[in-house]
Amino acid sequence: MAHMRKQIRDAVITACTGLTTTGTKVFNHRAYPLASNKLPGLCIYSQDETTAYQSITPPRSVLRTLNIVIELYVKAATGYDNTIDQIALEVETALTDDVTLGGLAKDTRIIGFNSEVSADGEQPACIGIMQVQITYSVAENDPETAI
Amino acid sequence: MTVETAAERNAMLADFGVDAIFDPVSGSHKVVKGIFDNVYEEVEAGGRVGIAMQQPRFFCKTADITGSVEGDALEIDSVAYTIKVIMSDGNGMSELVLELN
Repeated sequence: MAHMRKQIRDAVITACTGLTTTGTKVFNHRAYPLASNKLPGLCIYSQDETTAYQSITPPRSVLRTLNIVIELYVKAATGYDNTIDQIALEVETALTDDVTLGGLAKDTRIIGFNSEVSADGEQPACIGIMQVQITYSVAENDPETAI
Repeated sequence: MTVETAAERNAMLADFGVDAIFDPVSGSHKVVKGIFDNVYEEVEAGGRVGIAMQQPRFFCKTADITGSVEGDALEIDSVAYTIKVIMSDGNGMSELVLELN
């Protein structure tokens, strides 16, 4: 077993692996630049989390809100924005197919998206940044198990 | 005031330059000599990580590409590029920002 945050992140990675456009080019917490042979690809990481205690007597139940970021990476001379939107379509469909992520979460919501482009390289590099909010509940003394 | 003379620019291009085929949208193609830089670097585009790719640039005499516009073609070592930005230094040389076709 592992912390619920890792289990949820792994579930998101699993859901986003094998999509039509990005295939297996899905990376978790990557620190190094993506080379062309890893594009179009996804980088998925947990960004931050807030907690709200739901009961008074220990061990208390805790409702956690985890923000996961999915970054969509594309390099192309033309049509890169269309490719970003196609990847977003595939990711959103995959994530909302089961908003409980196999029973790990209470809910999964895509709460934001923005994109950036750079023309410093041999072809434009476009990145879509998708904000995903996932709520889950655990007992404070057992952060490995969803309740 | 220019730092170097036309003769020095020619000598520099003769020593370090490569031949490229300049094919403008309007007009006929010709061979121009210039210095080709194609470094492999990380490009930051706003994500947590960057994208590693080439950054092709071509430095040539401005007079060799007179009338050049964005969209003109340049072929170097049988690789086709499109000229995206033309940056003249005002002293006889221009840097071309290239996009890989």
